[in-house]
Amino acid sequence: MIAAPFAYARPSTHEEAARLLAGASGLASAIGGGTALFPLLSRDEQQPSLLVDLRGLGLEDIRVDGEELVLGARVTYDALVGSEIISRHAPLLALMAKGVTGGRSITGQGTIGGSACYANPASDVPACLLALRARLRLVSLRGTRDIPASQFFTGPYQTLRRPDEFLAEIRADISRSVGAAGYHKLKFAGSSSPIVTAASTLQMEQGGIAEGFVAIGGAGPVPIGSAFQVRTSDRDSVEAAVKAIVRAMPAGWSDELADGDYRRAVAPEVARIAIEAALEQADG
Amino acid sequence: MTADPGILAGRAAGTSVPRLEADSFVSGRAAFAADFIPAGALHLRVVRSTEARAQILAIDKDAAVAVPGAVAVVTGADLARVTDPTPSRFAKDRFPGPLDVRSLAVGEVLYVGEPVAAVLATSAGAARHAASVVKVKYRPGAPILDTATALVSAEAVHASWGTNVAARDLIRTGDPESVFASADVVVGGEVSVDSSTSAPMETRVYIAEWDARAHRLTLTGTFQMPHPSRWAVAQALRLREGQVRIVAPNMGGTFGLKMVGHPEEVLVGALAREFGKPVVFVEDRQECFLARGREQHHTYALAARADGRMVAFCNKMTVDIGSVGAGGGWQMGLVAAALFPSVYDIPNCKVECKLVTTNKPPWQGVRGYGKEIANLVMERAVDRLATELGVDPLELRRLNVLPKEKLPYRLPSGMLIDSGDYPGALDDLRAMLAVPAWPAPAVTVARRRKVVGQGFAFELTPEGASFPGALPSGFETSTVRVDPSGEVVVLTSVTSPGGGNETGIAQLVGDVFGLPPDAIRVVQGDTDLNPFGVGNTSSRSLMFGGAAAVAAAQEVAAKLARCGANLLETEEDDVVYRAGQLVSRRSPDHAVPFARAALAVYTHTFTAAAAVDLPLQATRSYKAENVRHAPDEHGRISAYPSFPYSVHAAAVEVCYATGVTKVLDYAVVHDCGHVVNPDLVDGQIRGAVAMGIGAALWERMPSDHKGRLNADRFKAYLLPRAPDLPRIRLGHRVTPSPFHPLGMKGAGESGLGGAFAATANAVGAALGPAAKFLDAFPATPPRILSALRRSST
Repeated sequence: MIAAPFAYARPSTHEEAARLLAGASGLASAIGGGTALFPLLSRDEQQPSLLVDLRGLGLEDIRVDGEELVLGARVTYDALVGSEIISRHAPLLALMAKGVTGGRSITGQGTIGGSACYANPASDVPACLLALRARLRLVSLRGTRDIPASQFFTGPYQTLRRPDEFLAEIRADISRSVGAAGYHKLKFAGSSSPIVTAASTLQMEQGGIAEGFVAIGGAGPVPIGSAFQVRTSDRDSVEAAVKAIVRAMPAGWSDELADGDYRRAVAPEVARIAIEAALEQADG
Repeated sequence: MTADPGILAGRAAGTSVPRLEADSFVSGRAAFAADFIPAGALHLRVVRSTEARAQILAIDKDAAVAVPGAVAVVTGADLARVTDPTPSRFAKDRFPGPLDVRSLAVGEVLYVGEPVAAVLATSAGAARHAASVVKVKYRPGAPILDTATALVSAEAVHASWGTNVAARDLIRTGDPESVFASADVVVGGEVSVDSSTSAPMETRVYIAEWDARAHRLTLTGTFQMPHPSRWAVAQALRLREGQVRIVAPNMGGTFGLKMVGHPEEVLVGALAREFGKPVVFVEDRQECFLARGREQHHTYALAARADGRMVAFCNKMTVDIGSVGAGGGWQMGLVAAALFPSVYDIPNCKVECKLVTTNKPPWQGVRGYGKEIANLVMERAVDRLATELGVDPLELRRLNVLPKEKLPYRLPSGMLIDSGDYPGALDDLRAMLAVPAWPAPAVTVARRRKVVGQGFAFELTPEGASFPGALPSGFETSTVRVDPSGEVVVLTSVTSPGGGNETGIAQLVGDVFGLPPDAIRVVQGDTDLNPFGVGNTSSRSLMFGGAAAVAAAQEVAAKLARCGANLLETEEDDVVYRAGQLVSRRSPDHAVPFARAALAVYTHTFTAAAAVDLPLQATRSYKAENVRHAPDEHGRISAYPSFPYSVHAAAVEVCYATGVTKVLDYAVVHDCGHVVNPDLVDGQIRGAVAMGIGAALWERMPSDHKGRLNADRFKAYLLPRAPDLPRIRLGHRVTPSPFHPLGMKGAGESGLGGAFAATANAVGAALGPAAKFLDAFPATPPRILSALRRSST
C-alpha cells in the first residue's frame, strides 16, 4: 500500500526519460525492477512525486561490444543466470546472481542497474561491479557520461548519479571479467541481507602467478577493491593479499544486524573465501 | 484416574486423520478476517507516536482532512467522550496503582508507536496518506528505556504508580543462603534476552459493523479470545456484553499475539458506531512488530555437591515489560519466575523477580509465555555446572532430574507438576543420538575453524493457565448437538490459531458417536453461537475444549441411546455406537443408522423418542481438578494443571572467524500425555522448535536511544527459513496426566523453550571456554565473535 499519491510515466526513448527526470526538480525516482523502491514507498520512507519506469527503454540486453561486455541497466538476476554471454565472459556475475534469494519476485524483477543505483552497502551488486572494474553509463539531457565503479559509489545509498540522470548501461572490459571468479557473501541466515560480500576475479599469468582483483562490499560505507598477485602454489600469498586489502579499509558501516567493527572483523575471512574459490576455479 | 480407554482406544483419536478443511487452506479458498471487509467500509489508519515519552501539545488535523477520501481525524480527547477505559482480562491487584487504558493517548504518550489519533478514509491508501500528514506537536521528556534507569528514576512511566516496579515476586524454598555458603561447587552467570515477537503470517485485522437499529456491534477479526474480547470491548464502549458480537474466522497464526487487549479492538468499534459505517483496521507488518516480549535479565547461581548433585539455585530476574496496556503480556515475566527450577530436584531455591516499566510498547503474548525463558536460564545454568565439573551434560541432567516416583511434585512457586518421566525421555533421546546422522562433536575444519557443538536441554511447559481473577479463569465450554439430519455439531469456546484443533475435537466427538471425524462439524469463534470460554491459549484447546466436548457428546449419546433402545427394542445399556449405527451389543445384527435414530428424536417424539431427554444437545465445561487457588502453607497457589515436557539435542556449527552459526541436526523427545492427532502435534512441535532456534540465534528487536524500533521488517528481524533449519527428529513418550480424564497434557505451545536452550547450549559447547561470555540472546554472530574475543583477552 503506497500512501502518497505520485505520477507515473513510462517513457519509450532515452530523451523522453531524461526530459521527465529533468523536469521533476529532483523529486522523481527511476524504477528498475522496483524491488528496493516499492518497499520504501509502501513504508512512506520515500515520497517521490513522479516514478519514471525505465522498462520502455530496451535496457534488458546483454551483449558484447568489441572488447566490452555491455549490460542494460534492467538486466535481472534471472537474466544473468540464464545468459550464455555472462557465463562465458563474466562468470562472477552468474555466481553472484545465483546466490540472490527472495524467490522469483526478486530474482526475476530485481535489476543489476537498480541495485547499483540504490547503493545499499548490504547488497550484492556494488562489490561485483567494482571487481569487474565496470563503468556505469549515466544519461541525462546534458549528455552521457561513464563513471568507473570505483567512483560511482560515494556512501551508503549514495552515488554520483544526479537526480536528472538515469543509469542506462554497465560496461566492463572482457579482459577483466573473463577468467576465474569467486564470490562469497556472509549472511546470518537465509532471510538476512548480505552482511559482507567479496567478489574476486582472477587471470592466470605465466609461471604460476595469478593476477587478481578483489572487491569487498558491506564492510564499509562503499565497496573497496584492490588488485593482488598470488602464486597458485603458495596459498599463504592469499593471506598477504587479504591483509593488504583490509589495511586499506575505511571505517565500518553499521546497521541493525551488524556494526562496523563486526563487519571489519569478518571482512578478511570473507575475502579469503572468495579468493580461494577463484583460485580453485582457476586450478580446475 | 487414568485415561478412559473407551475414548482413546477409539477409531479416530490417536491416529493422524487428515486435517479437516485442509483443502480449503492449500487451495487458497479459506477465508481470513481481511476477506470479510465489506464494500463501503471506512479504513482506519492509526497515527502513532514518534516519541517514547512526551506530552501531546497539539494535533493538527487540517492537512489530513483535506486529503481526498479522508473522512475524519479522531483524537484521544474525542474518543474519551464516547468510551470508558479498557479493562484488562487479568486481575491487576499486583500493580501499585490503577490503570486508565485508552485506545488513543490522552495528554501524554508512553512509547513510540502508541496510538495518538485515528484517521478514517474511504480507502486504505487515503487513510494512510492522510495519517502521514497529521501533525502532532510533542513536548518530549527524557524516555526511560532500560530497567537500570527505570529502577533509579524519580519519574514513573505510569505516573500515578509512583514507581517503575509494576510487580514483584519472591519465591523461596529451603535454606538457599546457607547451602550456597557451604556448597562444594557454585557456578553463576547471566542471561539477558532481547525483545522478540511471534511474527504471525497474518497480521491483526478488525472489522467493526454497528447495527444502528439493533444497537449491536459486530466485530469480525483476528480474535484469539472472542469472549474476553467481547467483555472488554463492551465495557470500553459502554455497551452490554450482549450488544457485542465477536466473530473470529480462520486465523493465520497468532502464538499469543492476538490475545485480548489491543487498542484497535475498541477503536474500530467506537468509530463504526460514531460514523455509522463499517470501520476496518488492517495492521501492517511494521505495526505488527510493536508486539514485543521476552526482554529481561537474569543473574543466576547454581550450587552442587562434588558428585554433581544440585543442592541450591538462586536467580534474580529483572523484566522490561515496557508500558502496561489492556493486554496481559506482562504476566509472562511472573510465569517465568514461577517455573524455576523446572525439572530439577533442587531442595533450596530462591527466585527474585521484578517487572519493570519502561517507555517501550507493552508486552503481547508470545509463544512460551515466559516458560521458554525460565527453561533457557535453567539449562544454561546446568550446562555451566557440567563444564565446571567436567562431566557429560546429559549425565548431569540424569543425576538431577526429578525421578518419576517423586511426581506429582510441588515446585517452589507452588505449581504442582502432575506427572512425567524425565529419565525415560533422556534414554529415548540417547537412543536417537546413536543414529549416525549426528555430526561428530567438536569437529574442527581446517582453516575456517568451524566447530560443532552439541547442546542439550530439558523443557518443562506448564499448560492450561488458570490464573485467579482472570476472565475467564481456567475453563472451556463445548456444546454438542445432533441435528435432525444426523449431523453432529460441536460449538466450542476454544478457537483455532491455524493449528488444527478442530480436527482433534472432531476426532474425539466422532469416536463417542461411532462416526468419522469428517461427519462432525466444529464451529468456533462466534460469541453469538459459541459458549463461554477463553479461546486459544496455553495449549488448552483439546485438553479443556476437547474434554468438555467429549463430556457433552457422551451426554447427548446417552440421550440418543434411549431412542436407539426404543427402535432396537432393547435396553439403553445394550446400545453401542459403531460405524455410523446404533447397534445392540447382545444381537449385533440389530442396528439402526445414526441419522435415522436422530431423525426419530425430532419426528417421533412421543413414540420412538418417548423417554428421550430433549433437546438432543448438551453443554459442558471442563475445568482442571488440580488447579489450586487457595494458598498453601507457603502462601502459594498452583495455576497450571498440566506439565508437558521435552528434552532436546541440537548440533550447531559455529564459525570462529565470523560467528556465523548453522544448525546441523536436531532431535527432541516430547511428552504431552495422550495424543489425539500425532501428525498435528508433530507439526506444532516442529514449528515450536523452529521458533526456538530463531529466538536462540537470530530474532531480535533492538530499539535506538530514542526508543524507536530498529528492526521492524523481515530484513532486519531474521526469522529462520527452511534452509536454515535441519531435519527435526521427533520422539514421543506418553505419560498420561493422572488428573485429566483423557490423560492429555496439552500440545501446541511446548518445544520453543527447549529449542531455545538446546541451541544456546550447543553454541556454548562449540565456544568452549568462551561460553562463559555467551550471556546475551539471541547468540548473533557479532555476539559470538565478541565472546570469543573477550575469552582470548
